[in-house]
Amino acid sequence: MWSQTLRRAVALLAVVAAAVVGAAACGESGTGGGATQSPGTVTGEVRILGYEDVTNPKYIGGFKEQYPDVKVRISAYEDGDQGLAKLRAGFQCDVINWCVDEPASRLALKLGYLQPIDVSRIRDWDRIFPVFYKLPLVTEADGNHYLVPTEAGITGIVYNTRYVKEKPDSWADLFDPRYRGKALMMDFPATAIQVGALALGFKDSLNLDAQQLEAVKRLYLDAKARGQFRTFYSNDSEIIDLMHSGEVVIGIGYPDNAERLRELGDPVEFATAKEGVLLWAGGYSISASCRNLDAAYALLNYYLSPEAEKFEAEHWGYYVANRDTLDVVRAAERERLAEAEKWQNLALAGPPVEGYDAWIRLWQEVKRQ
Amino acid sequence: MRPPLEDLPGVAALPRERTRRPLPGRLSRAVTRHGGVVFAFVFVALLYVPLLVLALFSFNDSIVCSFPWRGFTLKWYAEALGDENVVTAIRNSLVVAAVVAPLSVVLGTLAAYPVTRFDFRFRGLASGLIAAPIAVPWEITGVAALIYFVRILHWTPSWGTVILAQTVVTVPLVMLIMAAALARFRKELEEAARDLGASRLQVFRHVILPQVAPSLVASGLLAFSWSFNNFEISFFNGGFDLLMPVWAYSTLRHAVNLPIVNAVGTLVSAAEVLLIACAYVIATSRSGARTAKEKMEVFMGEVG
Repeated sequence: MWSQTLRRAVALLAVVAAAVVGAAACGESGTGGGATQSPGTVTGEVRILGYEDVTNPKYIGGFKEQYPDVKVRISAYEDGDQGLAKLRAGFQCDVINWCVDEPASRLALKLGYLQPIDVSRIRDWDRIFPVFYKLPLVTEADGNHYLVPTEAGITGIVYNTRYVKEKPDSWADLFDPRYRGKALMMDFPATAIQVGALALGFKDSLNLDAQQLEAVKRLYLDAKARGQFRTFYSNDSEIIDLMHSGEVVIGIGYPDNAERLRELGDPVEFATAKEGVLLWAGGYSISASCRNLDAAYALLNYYLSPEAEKFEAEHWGYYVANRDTLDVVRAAERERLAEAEKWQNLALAGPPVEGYDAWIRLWQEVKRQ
Repeated sequence: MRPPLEDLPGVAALPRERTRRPLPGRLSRAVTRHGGVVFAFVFVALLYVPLLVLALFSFNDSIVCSFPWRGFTLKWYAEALGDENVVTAIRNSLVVAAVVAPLSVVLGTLAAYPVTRFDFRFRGLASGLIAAPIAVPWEITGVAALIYFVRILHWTPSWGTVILAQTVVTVPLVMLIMAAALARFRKELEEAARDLGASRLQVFRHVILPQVAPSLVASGLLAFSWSFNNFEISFFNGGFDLLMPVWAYSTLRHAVNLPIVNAVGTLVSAAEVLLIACAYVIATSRSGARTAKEKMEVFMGEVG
């Protein structure tokens, strides 16, 4: 009798103990907690869809060291449209890396491919430069956050001082007939059309009506007719090659393009346009189909950490979102990165999602003719 | 009968005026004689100069593909082979191609055999349906396959799904090559074997197969190359398994990676040239051809 009662008591205790342990375990790996995870508690697999950057072993290596029990799987793309095409076809992942200036990222939000981020689980959320909080996806109208920003850059004019004697200060300089056949434009409708609109003096270059779009198209068709652009390029390798060989003397590009060319001995400088400096910015979102939230948050925390941001700044020359990065980067980088603190009135280099189809059609027509 | 004028006594001794062909005739002869050489030179140059330039600059100590030459280096090769992404991508692509090629050869040959040997209703429709995927843009095939695998079958994309999707577009290629080879094959030999009591399987195994073996090898190598280099289907269906063309395309985003991609491209091109050379040796070894011209005729006949 006593032994039976004792056995029941022990069994009851075991059940209670199991329940307590189970609840504690759930608390540690739960998805709604405010605290960030310690490496030992995060396991499983995290699947990333992103730019080729995320595949760099030195970049992702830090996360793998911190979280040895998490298996990282990466699928790389070359631009956001490709990434969105995969998502729309049914591709599933946990974390997505992309740029907010690309309409694809904002369309993904509209289509329900992203889930809100609990920023209380992002350790350095309060250390982000102010300009980043205002970006689409980072803070949406409903107050939700869908992207942790990590990197940014400005788009301007890259020019060879040997041939371009007068420092360019306007997007219209790219269309100057003096540089016929030796100018370069991006093969990216969002940027190309926005630049065309700014060159024509349209103030709100992101919201263009049909008449303004027609004027931009005419600008490009006239430029094509006189052979203004050597080509429309799509990646850094092309602009570096074309400018180094002397085939191109002026083009739309990034500060690090000019830096690479200077390293090669070319007298190349970067200039901003008076009509507006275009800002691109990227970061990491959590997919609506995420299967491992703990690992996803761990990854987002890693990418925003000064350690990962340092790599972005020093390896790719990006601006970074986390101001604590200034404490760990090379002295030469510190001044440049601190500029982000002053960024206030930059135009995001990307049109609104609505009406973007018209931009794509316009650009296809320009290329076709 | 009167003798020819030249044979008349004294005529042969007369001083002859040098006869010249009219200009159009000479031009025509010159074009015939040298035009082929010029055409071949231009054709080969168009095909191979870009590859040679790529190979050349993979040894240049600079991140750009243009002169001046900055010095000879092997560091891009060292970086490429030391990059775990490159090694993984090449390994995955080799595995995929090593499965796709034999699978396509078997299925393509099985598809080619009935459409060239049997008369049956809807034969034209059947061969058209099998060959149709070759005409569909690979992007479309890639997206359609991803939708099918993920939304209908609920499979996770991986190199396994790449194999299936690539096989869809590679089988028609093999079928067309094998159908051409089987069409050239003399049907009387088959009939003779059948008359002597061989089953259809025996005829295929002992009569047809040895004759079309070079075409099988050639189509297999072509299928391997198609599969290894395929970007569109690999991109959409590779899931989280990195494949060579996807790595190369996404890596070019940064200028500093260009020479590494050049180095990998050179290695891959060299391997593929080696494969074609193997196909040439295999295709010509059993033919009895002796001269280079004969061997090339045999090779082109087998491949085409």
